Amino acid sequence: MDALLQDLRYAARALLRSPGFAAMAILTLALGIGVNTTLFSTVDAVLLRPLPYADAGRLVSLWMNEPGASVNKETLEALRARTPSLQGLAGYSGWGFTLTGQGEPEALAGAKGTADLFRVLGARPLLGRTFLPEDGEPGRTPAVVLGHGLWRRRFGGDRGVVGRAITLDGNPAVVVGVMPAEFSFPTREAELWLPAPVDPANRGDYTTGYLTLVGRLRPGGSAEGAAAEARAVARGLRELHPDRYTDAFGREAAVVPLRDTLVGDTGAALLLLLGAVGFVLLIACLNVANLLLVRAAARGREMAVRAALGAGRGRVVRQLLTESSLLALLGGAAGLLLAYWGVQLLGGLLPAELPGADEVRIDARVLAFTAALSLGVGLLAGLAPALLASRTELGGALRERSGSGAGRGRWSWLRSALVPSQVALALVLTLGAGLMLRSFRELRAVDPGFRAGGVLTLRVLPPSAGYAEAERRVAYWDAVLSRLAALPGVESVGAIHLLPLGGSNWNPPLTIEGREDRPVVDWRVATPGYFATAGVPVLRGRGFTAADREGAPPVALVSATLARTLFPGEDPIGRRVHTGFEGKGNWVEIVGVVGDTRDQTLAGAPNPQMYRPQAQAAMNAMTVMVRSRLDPALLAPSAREAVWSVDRDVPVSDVQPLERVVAESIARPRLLVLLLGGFGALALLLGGIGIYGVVSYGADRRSREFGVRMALGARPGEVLRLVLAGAGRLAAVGLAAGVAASLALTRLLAGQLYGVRPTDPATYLAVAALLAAVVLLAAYLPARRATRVDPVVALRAD
Amino acid sequence: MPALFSSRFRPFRASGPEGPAPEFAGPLIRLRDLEKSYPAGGGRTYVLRHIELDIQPGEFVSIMGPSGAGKSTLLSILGMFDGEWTGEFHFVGQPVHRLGVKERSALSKPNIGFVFQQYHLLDHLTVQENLDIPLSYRDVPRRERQAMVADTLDRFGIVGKKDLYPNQLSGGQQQLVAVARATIANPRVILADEPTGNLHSSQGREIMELFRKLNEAGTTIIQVTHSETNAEYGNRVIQLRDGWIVDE
Repeated sequence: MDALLQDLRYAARALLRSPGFAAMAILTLALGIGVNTTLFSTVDAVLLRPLPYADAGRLVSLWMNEPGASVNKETLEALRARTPSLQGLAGYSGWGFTLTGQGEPEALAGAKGTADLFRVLGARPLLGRTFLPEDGEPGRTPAVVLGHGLWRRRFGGDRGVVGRAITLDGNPAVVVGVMPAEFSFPTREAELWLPAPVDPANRGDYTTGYLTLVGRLRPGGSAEGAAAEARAVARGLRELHPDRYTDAFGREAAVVPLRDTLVGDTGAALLLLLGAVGFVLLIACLNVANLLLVRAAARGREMAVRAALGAGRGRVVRQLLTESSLLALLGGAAGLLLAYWGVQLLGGLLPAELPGADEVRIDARVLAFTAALSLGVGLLAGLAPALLASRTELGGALRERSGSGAGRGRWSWLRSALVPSQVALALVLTLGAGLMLRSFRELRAVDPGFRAGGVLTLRVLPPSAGYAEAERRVAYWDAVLSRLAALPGVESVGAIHLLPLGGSNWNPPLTIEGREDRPVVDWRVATPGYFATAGVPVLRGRGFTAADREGAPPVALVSATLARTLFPGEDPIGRRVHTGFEGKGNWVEIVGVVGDTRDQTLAGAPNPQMYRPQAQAAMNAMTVMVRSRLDPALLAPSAREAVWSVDRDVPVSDVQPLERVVAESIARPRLLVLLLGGFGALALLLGGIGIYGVVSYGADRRSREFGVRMALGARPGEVLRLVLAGAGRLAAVGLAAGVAASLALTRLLAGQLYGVRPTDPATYLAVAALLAAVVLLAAYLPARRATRVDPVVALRAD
Repeated sequence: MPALFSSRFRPFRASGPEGPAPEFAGPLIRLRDLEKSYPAGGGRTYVLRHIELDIQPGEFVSIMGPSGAGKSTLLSILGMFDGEWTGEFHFVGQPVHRLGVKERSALSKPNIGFVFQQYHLLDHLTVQENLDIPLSYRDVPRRERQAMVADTLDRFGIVGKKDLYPNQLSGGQQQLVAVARATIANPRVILADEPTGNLHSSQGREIMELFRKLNEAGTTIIQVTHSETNAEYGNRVIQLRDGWIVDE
C-alpha cells in the first residue's frame, strides 16, 4: 500500500511536470471515455436494467403472426387454456382517451387491458386497486387506474381520488387505483388504464383482433415451449373456424422477451452505436499508447537508473502502469463531465416511447463502468510502453548523454504499427457513418406520395359519448372542416383518421368478392378534401364526394399498389370488397384509384391501401390537414380556435406541420447518422492527431539524416516526398486492413441501411480518399518542418 | 565555491536494510576467462577478452584505459547490468554466470551501489525522495526508510537541500547526492563510472575524498576513470586496452 501510494505520488508529479503531454492524453481519453460512458448509460437504462415489473425476466410477448399484429379475445382465451408454459397471459391495446370535466379537455394516451394485465405484469398499485374480473362487464361504470404523473398533474396528488367519478370520452368512469411513479406500460406515455370490455354477447368485439399479448413464463417454462403450444392452439382455431382464421394464422407464432417488444429495433441501433464508440475509444487508446511510447523512449535513462537502484522489472512496469492508469482515471473523470452533457443531449434525442429513456443518467453503475473502463484503458494503453521501457538496456542507456534510452529502434516498429491500426479503425467507423449518410439521403429523397409543404395537421378527438351517433359525427366534421376552410389563406382542408407516417396502422384482411385469398391492406377513413389537401392524386375513376354519405352506396378508393398487386391486368373499379371494419357481408364498391402514400415508413415499397369516406365509416378521432399559403406554424392558433368554435370540449392535440411528421418518421435514421457522423468525425480527428504525432516523432528522429541529405544536395521537395511516402505506405496498409475489416463489419449495418448496400463501392472509395487526405494532411505538417532542417544545426545537435 | 559536504560527514558500515552483511572469506569479485563480444560482419567483435580478475573486500580499484578499451563494459558486467558474456563471475562466492536475471538482481540489490558520470538523479524527485528510492525498491518499511534518509542527509550535510530538485543543485551537489544515494542501502561495493567526469577539479577532489572515507570505512570502491589523479585515491589500478587487461 505504501509503495502504491508512493508510485501514485510520483506518477502525479511526473504528469504535473509534463503538462502538455498530460493535457493531450487526458483530453484524448476524455473524448473516448466520455462518448463510451454516454452510450453505456443509455444502453444500461434501455437494455440492461430490469424493466420496472416484478421478475421482469419472465415477461414475454406472444405474437401469433408477425410482431405488431394483434389478436382477438377468442384467441386469447384459447391460449390461456392451453399454454401450460405460461403462468399468465393478458391482452392489451394502446388507447387514446379524452378527459373532460377537469379543466381543459385533454387527450391522454393509455391502454385497455384484460382484468389480469396488472397481475401478469406483477404490478401493484400505489393507491386503491387494479382491475377485478367483473370490471369489464357490460353495464358497469368503467374502472380507471391512473398513472402517477396524471394523478399528480390533474388530481393534485389527492390520495382521496380513489372512488372519484371522472369523465372519459364523455362517459362516466370511476377511479379505482393509482399506480406508482416507476410504472409505465406499454409505453412511457401511457397515463391511464381501463379494462378491455368483456361482452360475450358481442361477437364483433370477441373476434375483432385488437389485443396485443403479454405473458409471464412459469418458473422453468421456456419461450420455445410456449411458442410451440401457441402454434398448436392456432392449428385448433384454424380447424374450428376456417372462416375467421386464415391458413397462415399462428403458423409462425413466436414468444419473445417483453423487453424486445418494448425496445424494438432501437436496441440494435444502440448496440451498433456502442460498437462505434468502442472504436473511438480504441483509437484514443492507440493515441495515448503512442504518446506513452514516445515518453517511455525519452525516459529510457530514468528507467535504467531505477533498475540500477534496485527496481525490478515488475516494479518499473508497475510505476509506468500507475502513471498510465492515473492518466486514464483523470481522462475518465473529464470524460464523466463530457458524459454528463452527452447524457442530457442523447436523452433528449431518444424516442419518447422507449422504456428506460427517461432513466438515462450518470449513476453508481455508470460510475463503476467508467472507473473500470478508465482503469482498463490505462492498462491497455500503458502496458506495451511499460513493458518495452522496462526492457531498456541498462549499460547503454546510462552511458548516453541525451538520456533518451538505448534501443530506440525497438520502439519504432510499434509506433509504425499504430498508424495503420488507427487508419483501419477510423476507416471502419467513417465508412459506417458514410453508409448511414448515403442511406439517409436516399431515404430523404423518397417521394412519400403526398406533398407535406404548407400543410398544418391537428389531431381532433371528439369524445365518443357526445358523438355516439354517426350523424352527429358527420355533422361535427362538416362544421369543423368548413370553419377551417373559411380561414384566411387556407386553400383546402381534409381529414384522415390515421396520418401517413404518423406511426399507427389499421390493417385488416381484405375480402374480395369472388376470391378466396384475404390479403392484408392498410385501411383508412378520409374526407373528400383529404386527397387534394395532401396532394394525393386520383389516378383513375373518381375521388370521394359529399354525396358519399350514409344511405348512399358504400364506396372505397384503393391505392395504385393495391390495384396493381390485387387486380393485376384487371380494372379494380367496380369490384366489390369488404374488411372486418365494414362488417361481414357489407360489400363496398371500388370507385377510384389514388396514388400510393408511404404510410408506415419511407423505406420499402408502399403497402396496398384502401380508403373509406368519413361520412360512411365515421370515425371519432381524425387528423385534420389544412393547406394554406401561410406558414403552417402561423396558422396553428387560428386553426385550433376554429375547431374549438364548433365545440370547446373537444381536445385538439399534435398541432404540427406535416413536414415535421415526415421528419419525425426518419428521426431514428437521422439520429443514427448524426451520432455515427459525430463519432466518425471524432475518429478522424483523433486518428489525425495520432498520425501527426507518429510522423512528427519519426521526422524529428531523422533530422540528422535529413540534415545529411540536404548537405549532400537534396532539395526540400525530395525530403518532403520522403516523409510523405513513408506515411503513405503506412496509410495504405491501414486502408487495406480497414477495407477488409469493413467488408466484414458493415454487414452488421445492413438492417439500418436503405437504398445502399453495405459494400457500396462509391462510399468505400470516397471514405478511403477522405482517410488518405487526413493522413497526408497529418503527415504534411511534420514533413514540411523536416524540409526546414538546417543541416549545420542538425548535424551539430547529434 | 561552497563545500560539497560538511565536515560532519560520517561514513558508516552499519547493518543495511537486508541485515548485517555476512562475512565472506574469499575475494569479493572473481572473474575467470570472462569475454564479451557481439556479432559483426559475419564474425565477432570482442569488447572484453580473457579477463581474469580478483577484487578483495575493502579494495579501492581504478579501471583505466583509452576510449573503447572496455572499461565501462566491464563495470556494467560487474554491476550485473549486462548478462551477455561468457566465462565465470563469482560475487561474494556466488556464481553469477549460473544465475538467472532475478537471482542476479537479488544478489546485486543489497550489495552494489552505483555512481554515474551523469549523476542520473531522477529529475522529478527531490533530494530526499532520490535517497528514498533505492530503499523503497528494497521494500524497507517506511518508518525505517525515513530514519535512514534522515541519517544520510545528516551524514552528507545536505539536510538543507532535502526539498530541492536536482536542477536546483550544482553539478557537484548533484554528484554528492548521487554518492549519498549509492551508499544509503549500505552496499559492500560502489561502482563509479567516471564519477568526476562532469565536475570542476575542486568538486572532483571533494567527491574523491568522499570515496576515500567510504573506502576507509570498509566499502569496496571500483571506479572507471581517465584521471591519474583520481586513480591515486585508490590502492590498485587495472589497465585495459582493446578488451585485454594489459597491466596491474
